[in-house]
Amino acid sequence: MGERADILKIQRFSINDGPGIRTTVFLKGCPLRCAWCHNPDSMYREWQLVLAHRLCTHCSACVPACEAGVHSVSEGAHTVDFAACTLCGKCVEACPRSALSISGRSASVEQIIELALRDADYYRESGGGITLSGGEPTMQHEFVEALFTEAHRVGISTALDTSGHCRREAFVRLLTHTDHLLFDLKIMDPELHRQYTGADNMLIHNNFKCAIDRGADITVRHIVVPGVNDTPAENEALAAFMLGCGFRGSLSLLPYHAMALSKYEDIGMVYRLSEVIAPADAYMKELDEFFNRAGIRCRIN
Amino acid sequence: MNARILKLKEEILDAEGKWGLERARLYTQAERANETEVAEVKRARALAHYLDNKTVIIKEGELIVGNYGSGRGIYEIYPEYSFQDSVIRYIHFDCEQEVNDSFFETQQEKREFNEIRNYWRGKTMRERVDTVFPEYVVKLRDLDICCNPYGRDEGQGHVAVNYELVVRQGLRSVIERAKKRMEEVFDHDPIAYTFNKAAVIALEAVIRYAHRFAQEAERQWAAEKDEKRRAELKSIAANMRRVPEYPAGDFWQGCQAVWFIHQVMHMEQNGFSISIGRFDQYIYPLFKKDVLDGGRFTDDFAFEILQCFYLKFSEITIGGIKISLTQTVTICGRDAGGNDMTNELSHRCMDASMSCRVLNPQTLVRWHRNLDPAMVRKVIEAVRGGETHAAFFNDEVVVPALEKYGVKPQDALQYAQCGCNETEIPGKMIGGGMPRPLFLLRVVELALFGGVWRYTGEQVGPKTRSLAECDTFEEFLESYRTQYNHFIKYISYATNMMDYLHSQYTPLPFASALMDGCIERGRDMLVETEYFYYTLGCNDFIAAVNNLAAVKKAVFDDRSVEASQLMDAIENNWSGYEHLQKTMLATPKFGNDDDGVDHLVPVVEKISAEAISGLRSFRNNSPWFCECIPRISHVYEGIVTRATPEGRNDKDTLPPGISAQIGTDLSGSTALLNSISKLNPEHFAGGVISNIRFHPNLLKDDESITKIMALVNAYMKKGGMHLQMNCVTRETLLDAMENPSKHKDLMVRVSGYIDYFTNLDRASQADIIARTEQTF
Repeated sequence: MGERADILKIQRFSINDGPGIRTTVFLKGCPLRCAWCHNPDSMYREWQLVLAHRLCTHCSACVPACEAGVHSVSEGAHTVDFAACTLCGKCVEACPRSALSISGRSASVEQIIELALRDADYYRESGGGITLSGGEPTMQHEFVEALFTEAHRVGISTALDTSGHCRREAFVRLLTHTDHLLFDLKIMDPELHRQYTGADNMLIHNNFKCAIDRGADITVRHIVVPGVNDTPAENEALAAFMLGCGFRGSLSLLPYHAMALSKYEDIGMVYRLSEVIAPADAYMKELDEFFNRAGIRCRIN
Repeated sequence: MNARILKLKEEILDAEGKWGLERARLYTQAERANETEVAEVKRARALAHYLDNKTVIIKEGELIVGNYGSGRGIYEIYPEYSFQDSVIRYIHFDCEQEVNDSFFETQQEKREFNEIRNYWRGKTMRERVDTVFPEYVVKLRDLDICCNPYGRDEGQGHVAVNYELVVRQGLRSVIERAKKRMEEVFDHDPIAYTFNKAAVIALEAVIRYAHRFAQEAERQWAAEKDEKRRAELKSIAANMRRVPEYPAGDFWQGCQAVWFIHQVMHMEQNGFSISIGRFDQYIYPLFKKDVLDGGRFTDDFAFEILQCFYLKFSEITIGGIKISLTQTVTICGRDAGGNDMTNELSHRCMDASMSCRVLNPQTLVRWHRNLDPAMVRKVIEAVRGGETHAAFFNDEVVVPALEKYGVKPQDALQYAQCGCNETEIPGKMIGGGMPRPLFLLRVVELALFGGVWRYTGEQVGPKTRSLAECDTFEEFLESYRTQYNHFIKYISYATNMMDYLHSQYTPLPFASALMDGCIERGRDMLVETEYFYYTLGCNDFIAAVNNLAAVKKAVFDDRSVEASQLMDAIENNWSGYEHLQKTMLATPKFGNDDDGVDHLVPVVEKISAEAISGLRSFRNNSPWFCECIPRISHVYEGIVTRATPEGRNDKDTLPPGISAQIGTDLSGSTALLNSISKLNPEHFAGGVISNIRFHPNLLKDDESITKIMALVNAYMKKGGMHLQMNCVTRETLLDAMENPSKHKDLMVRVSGYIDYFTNLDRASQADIIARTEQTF
């Protein structure tokens, strides 16, 4: 106990993050840099200033509030020198429209358990519980372990939403505390994987096998990104890999969407996939059929 | 949907509303002819004269007959109550617009209208009320603080008579009972004698009215070429010779009898929320005999009958063509042993509601822990399909609450909903009829300003310490309590007086004859009924809670805001106080499972509950319940309310019922429902409304629906009283793009996860809207 984590947010009534109705905690920090990441402010464990451009009226109230001179507003444009920000929070307080905020806060095991227990009736009725997501929750694996241990002690089921990019030792230890694993398999080709996520997929694949060998209850999540991982070769490789590992869980296909684009702008990052468009419904259905034919229980999410 | 049903539905929806004179003309003729009669007989004769002479229409393809007015989309006038424009009133809550001769086209109509209007001058219920009410009560009413008696312009409504009696025994048996009673009391109980005489006049007239439809069906039959329709018309004629006079012989006649009584209920008075009780229970034996067992009607034809029956409710145009009169069909529920009463007909009712998809009637499902899961699923699927008023009410909460107030256990089990969720017992209970709300936000405003009406500077309430004069929150709460308790007396006065006036001038002999025991007691239901209850409407309950919490935190706990500054800010609609508004908006809001505000729910509730515990009533000395059923008062109340301390702007809508202020429940549905669960439903036996809204794509597949089912079941098991779910429409989403602050709570499912709609950028929002259209 006493462990704290850096988190992005806690979402109650999550119905897409594992079995039943869940409370999902998004932890900050991720070792990967997936080009399509829809929570870009979860990449870094460090807290960040966020400017929601859509809410900003260019009133300039933030400009004098900032001692570091982070903000400048001119001719209907608000520019932010994110690197210079000291996270003092004065501009956030000054903004009358709540356009500025700080992404990141600290949460303790006790706080999260207290919040989760408020929804215990809903977990019981639906078979739900707590899900830790991210970012990559295993980056704060000590916290995950402490939280899951406490959750089990008070009778709450646990789910871990992971990319599997985690040291084997820590990963194995977390498995013993995890009732349900949501495992993201992104790209099969190692080179492409490196190119789009910044890391090799060897460790991920080994951890996936390891989880299956230890009898973990797994749902694979696979985001279908047109032009990146939607080739026949990728699909066949994914099916072959899963079957080869003896996977018996279900596969959840998630169509790529570009809805995070503005989130990148809001934290001063550049979105690499702005040209990619969402896959057609027909293609998703085709893919769904392909995996089901291959013997993998599949659904489009 | 088959061609017949589609055509009937289109006819209803495409009707153009217009004012008609038929009822006003016939009622005036009867009133003139019976001026020296006592009220009961006068009313019965007027109804009889109307039924004997009103227009009778059987529409092409109709299986259930009995037309409400004189033609498609005609608004009838109820001169004995009021000449106010009910259409305007129901839509805009403008009570001051009167129907006048400009509403009619021809010179003859104008002349006739003016004659009718002049005859009734000084004799309408509205004028009687205005004569009787003291000046101060009128002021409270005009300021929308309280004493706003809906009964000023319309009848009692809010009742489900004993439809089972009509279906199983028929009106003839009721007439026999009434005649027998007349003989018994002839020499010693003039009231009972007169009441029963009136009941016989009214019931005989309804039977003659049914026979007029038999004649019309026979007339059409003679001229009809199509064999299939000829056979139907023959059946319709036979049905109308039999019901509602005699017991219904089959499922078709059962539905016909219920509809026939239901439309006449709306002819005798213009009250709303008149409902048909537990239809799936009392019609089930006929449904089982003729559809499930006997095969007298095919399942398809039985469903057509049911759809025709459902569509008829939209014909009743009091308040306009497309206004929900909150006529309710209650289905499911448990018996004394906790067994589920859901049957095949319950499912067909829900199917009919989904396929007809009209505003009237609304279907209410009585939830309990053994409720057929297929029914829960069906309701959620209906919500996804755009059904906006399917709702659950919780047997496990309502039944004990009724018992606590003295309702016999076997009667409490028979409860049904009337209207916007008032609890009634068919044939046995009326209440909440003309809810007299106290607008709690008004009480907060008066407490803030020490009893001074901020809009005029008058001292309207008792003089109490204003916010600036209070040193602690407890002192401020005391001001609130003092203001509150002051008004209770006037509400009780207005309520009792209104009931007295109605019983004197507009008794309801027809409806009363179908209430249990009225014939034996020989008293109109407005005078004596098995159970009455009175409701104190706690409108703006959540607005009051949010405001008290905001003041408590900012002014007293944190001491971050000066009371005088806050008062200036709200008087100036936050102009020049934008920062203060942000601070106040950031105080905890109801709907987030946040104890910082939710702890005030029982506090505010207790003030109301304690206040009503001392109230008395002149009918049976019946209990008072609290209720929180806003209809749409939260919208019009919002429009006339200036900025308030919780951060709300001038004119913004208030939270409806026990629901969060729009845009402030940001912690997910479980948190919202947890907040709602903090209300003690025992105090709210009169009914509450709790709304939760989803984007349809949240309910896109079976797995998601299963999770929403779990949400409903868990909430109800925790003791939730009512739950109404809505799916947002495209219009709402478009509005959310333009006015994000009003829709901050709107959750949508982006592929694979849920997000708040207003968190998305415009392009994504447009995308969701495009997808929504596909879903519908």
